[in-house]
Amino acid sequence: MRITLTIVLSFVLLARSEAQTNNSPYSIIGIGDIEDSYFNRTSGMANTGIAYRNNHSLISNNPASFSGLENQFFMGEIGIRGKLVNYYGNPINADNNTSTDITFKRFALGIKLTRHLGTSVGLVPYSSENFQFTAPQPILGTSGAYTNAYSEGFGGLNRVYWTNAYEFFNHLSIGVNTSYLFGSINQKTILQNPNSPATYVSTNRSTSMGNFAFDYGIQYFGRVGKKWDFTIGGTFANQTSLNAENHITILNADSLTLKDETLSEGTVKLPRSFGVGLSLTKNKKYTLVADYKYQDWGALKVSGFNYSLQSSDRYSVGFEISHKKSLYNTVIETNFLHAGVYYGNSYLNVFGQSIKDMGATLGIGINAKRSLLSYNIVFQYGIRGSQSNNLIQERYFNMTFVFSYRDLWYTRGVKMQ
Amino acid sequence: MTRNRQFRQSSILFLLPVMMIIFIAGCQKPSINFGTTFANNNTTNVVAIDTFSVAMSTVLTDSFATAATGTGLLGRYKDPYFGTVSSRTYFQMSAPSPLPTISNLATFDSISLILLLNKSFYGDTTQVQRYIVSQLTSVIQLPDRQFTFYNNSKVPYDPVPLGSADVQIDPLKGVTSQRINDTIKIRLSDELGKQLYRMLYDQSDTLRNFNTFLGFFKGLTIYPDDASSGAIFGFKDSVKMRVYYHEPGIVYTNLYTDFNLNNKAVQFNQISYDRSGSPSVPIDSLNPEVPTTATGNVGFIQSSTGLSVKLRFPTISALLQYPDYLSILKAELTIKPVEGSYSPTFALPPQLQLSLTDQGNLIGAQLPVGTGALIVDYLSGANTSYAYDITPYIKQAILGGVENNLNKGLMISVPAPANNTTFNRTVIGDQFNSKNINKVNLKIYYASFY
Repeated sequence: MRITLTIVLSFVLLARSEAQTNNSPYSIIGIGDIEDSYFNRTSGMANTGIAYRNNHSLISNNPASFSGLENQFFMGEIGIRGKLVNYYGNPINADNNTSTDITFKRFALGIKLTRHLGTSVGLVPYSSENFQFTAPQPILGTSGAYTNAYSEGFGGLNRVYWTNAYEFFNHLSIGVNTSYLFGSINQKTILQNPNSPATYVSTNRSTSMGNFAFDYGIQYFGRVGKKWDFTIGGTFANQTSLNAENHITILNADSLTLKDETLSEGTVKLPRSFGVGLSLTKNKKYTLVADYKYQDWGALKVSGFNYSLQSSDRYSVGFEISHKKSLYNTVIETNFLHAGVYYGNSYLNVFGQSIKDMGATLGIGINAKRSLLSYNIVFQYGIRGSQSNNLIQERYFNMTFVFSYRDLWYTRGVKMQ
Repeated sequence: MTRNRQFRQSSILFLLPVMMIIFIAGCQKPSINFGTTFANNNTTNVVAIDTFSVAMSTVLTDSFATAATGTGLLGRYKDPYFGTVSSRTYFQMSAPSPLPTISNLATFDSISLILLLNKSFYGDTTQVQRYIVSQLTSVIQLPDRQFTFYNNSKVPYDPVPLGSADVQIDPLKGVTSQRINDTIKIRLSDELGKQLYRMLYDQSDTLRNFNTFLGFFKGLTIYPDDASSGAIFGFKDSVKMRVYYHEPGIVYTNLYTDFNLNNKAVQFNQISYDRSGSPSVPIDSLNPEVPTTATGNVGFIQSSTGLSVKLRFPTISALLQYPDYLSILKAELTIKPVEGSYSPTFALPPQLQLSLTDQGNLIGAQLPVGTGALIVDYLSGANTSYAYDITPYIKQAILGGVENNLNKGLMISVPAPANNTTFNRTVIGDQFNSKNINKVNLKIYYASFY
């Protein structure tokens, strides 16, 4: 009952998250800003976790990680992010360069179905588009007369996924993630009388996309000596085509429909991508993680006026200190501390310049003493883009909240193990 | 188990406030002019086009009401575009009431007609003009089935004048060559004066009864003499016929009695014109609608001589066939007075109205689009224009179809009350006029998608 309620609420919140308000000027290009964050336990380690395994967190960084979940437990996690962005660069008015919002980002459930099989379902954002600007647009057939064009973009792609991971030989885990990507990106342009706020005509172009996508993960883990645990991991996704449908709706000033038609159907391609990661844990307490991820956007050869898509990469490292204590026969984690840094090239190349993203994260997590709740708060500071070539630099500060809840899972009244 | 339940409840309680925060989170969103360079895929545009044909013709209205305007129009002027225009006025007088008591010592002096300028005028005011007064030989009466008097109504009068005056009027300063401020005095015949004085002295029954007096004194007409040409002036209808007399005694007393205007409703102006020798000559009662292509690509508007211009947009509905056409946004009509056709002497009408009209040139409802906001540019002429936003009309016309637009259109005329009390006129260029700055222009802005 309560789970149902949580699910319903989560969907309501996710729907609302489409109305996020931060302006992301670069999101006009491609399918919008691609979300780098997983809003899970790895967020405090700069989302580094291809080779990370945890027994009571849903580590969607690598599908193979779910085999590491604790037996008998069911868990749910939600992620929420508040974001404050300061914009710098020539196109920015210094008096109005801050924007904030807070949005629901993730909902995930996970369970260890059998002793070797872990599974998880969830809903996360894949990309988001959100921008607005006003620019003059020439009136054709005149010399030097302009209308006002107000443009706004909104929407994005979401992903529902179902991941299964199976553990072999106590050292190897293989995971397959089946996702359905869906959503639409919209660009609404309102042509206005430049001398009054009167609307001439409003055009809404929407591209709806959707298709299944698969990605795969592998983790190999083991011990070296008495102190050291290690994991190496890899992920891979093949190039995927999303079915896309372009729709246009044009309304006049009285909101009468002038045109409402589907322009074309086609595909939007998502690139082949891979990632590799490494983690080292000492004394079950100190963990160092490192990731490299690559998405081959360049192979798709997408370019437009003044921009092109380039292959993206991302380097990140993270560090964890996990405080545990023994209780009766088991070891229980009481809290953990995280830190991480990241650096990478996004898939955008604008005016011949790669849009880079870099930053650092700090996280703290507390597992409640009296309940099976866990709270994780992550602070992130990052810089994206550049101020040269009339580009925009975003300096952002994020606060991510991850709440996870665990509970015993009863199957047919019989305890496993 | 019990413990577990408690955890469940506390967990949901913990989550609720967090969710509330999400809902009430304040937000601000700066507008960033950045995407401009990438948003080149906006295929919805505003397109301006001014190549639709505007068919123009001058339309003559044979007769129009000129009665009860409160204005007497008097004079004659010559206009290089509209010919010679003259106006005379007809009115009735009434006897003083109550009748004055005149002592038997008093003596008649004179009788004059007194007119007050209303300071409107048209034409050349530097000329001396002769104004002649004649007595009517019939009472001003509406013919059968007629409800008012028109510019071409006539009432017979005695060709022998009662009197006349030669005056030069400076209407702007409100003075005349008679040097009695803004008043014009026309001395009438002493014979009439003595007769009226006698009747006043006798307290004649003719003066006591309204109808009897009209039968005796049927009214007056004032008109310019045939030779004089200068300007047409406007007068207030508070015209007076003043009988002067004096009583001798220790103090010599000048006295007078006024005969006032009787019935404002029957005061009217007879306006006549002779267009011979002017470019507007082809327009007459036999050819009441003449396309501007037959009159040098100009149209003529002067409502007080019956001239209006009709516009039609015969090809406008073709816009619907444009492959990129979505909807009309705006239609601007600009009417351009022909360069050099106007001057401070031949001033433009400050207002021109647009009305619906049909094949028979009947004038329908006035468009609620203002009266043109005239801009006068005497220096270069390029900016002189009347401008209208006729979007609603064009929207309708586009849907009306070719047939409709061949017949129906817009009539440009001078709005009331100036239409029959002033002579301001304009000559406007059509689309084929040899000079660009004279051309009428219909500019349509439409939303386009391709």
